[in-house]
Amino acid sequence: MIVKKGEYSVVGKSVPLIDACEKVTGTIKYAGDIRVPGMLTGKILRSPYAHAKIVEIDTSKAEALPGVYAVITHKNIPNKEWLGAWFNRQGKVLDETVRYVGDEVAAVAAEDKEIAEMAIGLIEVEYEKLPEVFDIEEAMKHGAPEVRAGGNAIQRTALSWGDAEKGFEESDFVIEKRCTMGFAHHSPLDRNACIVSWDGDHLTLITGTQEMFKLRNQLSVYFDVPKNYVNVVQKPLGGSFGLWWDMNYHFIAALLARKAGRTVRMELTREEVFAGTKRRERPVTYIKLGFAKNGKLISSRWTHIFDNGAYGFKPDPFQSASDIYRITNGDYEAIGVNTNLSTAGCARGVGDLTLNYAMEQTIDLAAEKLNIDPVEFRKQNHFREGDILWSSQEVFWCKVFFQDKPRPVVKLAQEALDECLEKGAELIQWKKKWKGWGKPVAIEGAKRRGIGVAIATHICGLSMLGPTGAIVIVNTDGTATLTLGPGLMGQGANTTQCQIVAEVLGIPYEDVQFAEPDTLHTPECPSTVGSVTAYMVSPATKAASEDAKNKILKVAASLLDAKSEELDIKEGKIFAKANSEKGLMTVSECLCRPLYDIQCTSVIVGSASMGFPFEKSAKMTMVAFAEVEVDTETGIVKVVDYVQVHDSGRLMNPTICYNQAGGLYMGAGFALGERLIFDEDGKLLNANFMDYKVFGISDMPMPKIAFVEKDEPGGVFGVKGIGEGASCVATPAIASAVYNALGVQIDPPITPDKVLSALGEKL
Amino acid sequence: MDYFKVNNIEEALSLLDAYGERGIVIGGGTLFVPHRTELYSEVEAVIDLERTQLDYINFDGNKLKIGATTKLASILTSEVICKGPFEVIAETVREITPPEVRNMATVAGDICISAEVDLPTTLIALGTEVVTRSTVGSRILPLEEFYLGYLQNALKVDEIVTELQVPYPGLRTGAAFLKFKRISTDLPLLNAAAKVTLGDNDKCIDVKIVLGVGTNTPIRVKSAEELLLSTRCDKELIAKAANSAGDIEYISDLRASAGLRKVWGKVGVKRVLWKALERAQYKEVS
Amino acid sequence: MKKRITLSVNGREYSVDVDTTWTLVEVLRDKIGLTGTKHGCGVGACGSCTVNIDGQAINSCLMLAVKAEGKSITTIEGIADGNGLHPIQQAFADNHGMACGYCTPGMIMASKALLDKKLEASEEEIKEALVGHICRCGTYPNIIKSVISAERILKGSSVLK
Repeated sequence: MIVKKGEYSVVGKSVPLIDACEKVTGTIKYAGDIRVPGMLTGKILRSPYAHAKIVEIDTSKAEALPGVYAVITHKNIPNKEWLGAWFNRQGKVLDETVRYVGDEVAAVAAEDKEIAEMAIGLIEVEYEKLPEVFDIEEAMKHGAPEVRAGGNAIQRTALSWGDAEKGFEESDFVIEKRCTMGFAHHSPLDRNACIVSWDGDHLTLITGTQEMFKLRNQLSVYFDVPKNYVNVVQKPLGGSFGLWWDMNYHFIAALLARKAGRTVRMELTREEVFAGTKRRERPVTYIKLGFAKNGKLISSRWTHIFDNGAYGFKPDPFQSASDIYRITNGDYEAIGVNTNLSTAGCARGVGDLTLNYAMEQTIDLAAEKLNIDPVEFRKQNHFREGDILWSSQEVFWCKVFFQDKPRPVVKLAQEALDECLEKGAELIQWKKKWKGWGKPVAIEGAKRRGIGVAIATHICGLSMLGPTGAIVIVNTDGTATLTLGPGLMGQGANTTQCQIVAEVLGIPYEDVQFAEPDTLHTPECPSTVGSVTAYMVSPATKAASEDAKNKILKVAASLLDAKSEELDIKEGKIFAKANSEKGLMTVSECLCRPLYDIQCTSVIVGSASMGFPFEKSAKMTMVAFAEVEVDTETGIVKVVDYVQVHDSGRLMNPTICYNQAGGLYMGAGFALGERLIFDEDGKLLNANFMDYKVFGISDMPMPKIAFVEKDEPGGVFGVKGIGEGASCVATPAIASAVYNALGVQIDPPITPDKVLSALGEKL
Repeated sequence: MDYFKVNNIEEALSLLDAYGERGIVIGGGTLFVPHRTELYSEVEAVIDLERTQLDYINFDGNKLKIGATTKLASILTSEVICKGPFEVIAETVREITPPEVRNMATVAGDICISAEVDLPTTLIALGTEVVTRSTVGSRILPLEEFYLGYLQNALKVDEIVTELQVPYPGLRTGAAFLKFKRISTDLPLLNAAAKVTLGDNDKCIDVKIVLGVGTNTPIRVKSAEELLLSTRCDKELIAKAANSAGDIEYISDLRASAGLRKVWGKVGVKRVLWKALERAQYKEVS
Repeated sequence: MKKRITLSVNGREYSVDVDTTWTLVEVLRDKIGLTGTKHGCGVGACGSCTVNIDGQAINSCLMLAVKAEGKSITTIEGIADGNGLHPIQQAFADNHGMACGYCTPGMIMASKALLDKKLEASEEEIKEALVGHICRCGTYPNIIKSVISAERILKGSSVLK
């Protein structure tokens, strides 16, 4: 149902960010901006080798240096592993074996940065090099150096429906393709930091994170203290895109702080952020697609191999792409492989960028084989409302966590791909530019123009990401505070959730504040991943707001000698529903009046805690069209026109959503040049912005961003998510456009040398 | 590390004499500062030339004289450079981004670095000379002889660059610059510049073609120049000249392979030549 | 080597003990306590450390603190005049010229340096001024919109004057 505009007073409006003032004045405090008197500086010693055993480690000189308060190695810390959220890291804090160049070997806490760096230089380590493996397919082979105990490729997912083999036999055509992509990094601008202190057994850790509760839980287990002794204070993040979760350096800092008996601050350098945290997993996908003459997709087999790097242990990239097309039979297999490169894990879009890329390339080939317009082919074959999502993540996670339960049946609630494709096609002038398969848009001397299209989908959270507790406190001046735990990394959750509070309570948006989350005071919230907040956290916010509103109205009813069902609140005024023009009292007036029975004023606390039924899952859909110009003499590819259209239900705050679509720059950069470069010893060579080239303001023409707004049936106010999906479509759309320009498919990053090689140049 | 913001060049020179190899001269410091740990950890004295009043741009009808500490940003607001025969210098500086760096970096700094920089390529094509001073005197040398290798220039330990002199290009002279980069704001991966002067019947009476960054040092593509000198250029000749740039030794690094740079070298020479000819008012004869 | 220097920041004099190897951004953030200026990369490649020095946009991670002595430094904390936000700040807030906000101080300071010199900057000139600023969230379109909106406000108020 296309949304009706103007239905709500706050929802659907592009109200300013709730922290806009702090952001434009520079007063907002990210974790790296916090300074605590007397804090020590923590620094990490990192391995120069990709795989080695620490034979000897001597920290005596470092410990003896004046100004050094603590030094830790694998020898003097608990010999325990901790488990990072969503299989992103499993390992000890410091280990006898190092598994990638940059792996943590030891750490110091000292009076200042200079002393800490000097102390690091005084630690003597003798390494015994071990055989290394960097390539995922090599790492899978029998006899490959063992990065992960038990095997590098033991993390797997397998899901099937129908009979894929039979389906291929019944197909008129079968296409097989191998796709891969380069290495990429989230590279947020914020280097973050953590500040840790112990008060007896009470631990306080201040940091920017998307995984406040998971971090709290793991710290509690690792240090063997109750959960309510651990307070993770969550600061806003200057971008995260899946990077800043629960990190090993949190544990290192906590160990240092405990040993030193002082507050320790640890901030990673830009090089450490690139080389020593986490990166996007690199995929190799083998796709086999069987289809009929009439364009129907009959059978598919994906083997999606992706790397977990040194410490990741994901069994699946996490994706919804395998359901985006209606394919009667399917075998989906994902294999996470450990290698001696930095840990790899979730990054914006996850498998809906990586696996989806491979799928979109194959779909292009199928459409070309049948000589069907790629837009039409996608329209013909994409999933639709009511379709069973055979490989939806709920199915996968139930297999992991609820083995005794039947396989869940998840159906697609709603999508808007046809509308998005039509709108996008119009904006890029598809009919005018698409000349047919193998025919570029234009050829002018050495320049060739091509056009391409791609679709993608993504979850709007998953039920198993966690339940939500929400608290809405209404003060006697009529203002409200929302206590809620989502990570704040620019997706505007604080703003949009406060819009819900304002809408439901009936008070002005300006009167709602968002309390800084911390694990001591904030009820649990799902991991802020997979675009969960808008769709799956909102119900709790709404319920808590309704609870608060009911309580206010109960007070009002007693003061007005009325029934609370007869009353309502709008613009901060309480009125009788029967006579909405006449405000009877303001919320503040109501709450300032002492009640006879209790001889004082009321305190209004609305609360709710709930999970989200998995059958009501939702998917977002998005479409991108890209036009590129390839200079066939230099191999340089430029985007010359770009359109991205999103179906994210009703837009809670249209301008926030518009900005979220800016994830397209990440996808586009990844298509055309963003890449991590490792040398033959596994060392990252471009751990800085000089050589990890992120798209800037002039690297693309202004994109045309549009939305198709349909109320999502299961969503509060019809809202669903957008954030992660925004980076998923640019990469395949640009790759498709290059294919149209050149007649050769090139895997990202589509760099000049690859283009020239594709054109037959011997470099 | 000690720091001196000197008031005149003589102070700078005497400090340099005192510190020798352990002293370093900066204009803006945009190379030194971010790399002070890896490249310059033995530096004991930073001698800042900011106050030496060497920021000027003067044209005396014969030579364009640019003082050493002239900010790159000043090039872009100089009428004498932006409008007229020296325009290509402004075009080159405009490719040095971002503006924040142009506001700090100095012309001499860009000349002296001998690394991934843009100005030297253009200035060599224009026949620029470098004026240096030491406590014992002054000398002037062609910019094209200034580069000895990566991060190595021909300055003696006690010498400072004080001025660049660019000769007036003359009539019927055109020049062009081209930068190969990954995204809008980037170091050059390779750059190319050309200057041509045409005489009667559009014959080349002077031609300088330079490739920089992707080669060990900025290099005159003499093989190409020889093909064009004293002849009337045409498509075939220019293609041949450009192709000869394939014989140069290019470097491979994490930014680009030698193979890719070789392709770019040839394309770059071709494109800057055509542009330079166009600006020299070359008329193509069918 | 340690030195005591005086830095003039936002119209105030700060006397600080610094090491000669420290950059201006480190001193602003760690010594003077002005953390609005960010320290994203240390090599002048991200723009988050941009301040205004004598009216010019400068990457404070590229300037030695000792070099900054004697100059007039303005940071994001210093552009509002005490009567509310500077028009550029207001324009960014009104037009959602940000998502996470980390690049915002740098974007605003670079825009201010541009608009202080040229109130009629074209979209191309705005892009050129901001070309060294990474917005990883990708809000470039609304950043440009914010600067254009700021131009209108500033032009309007200058007409009123």
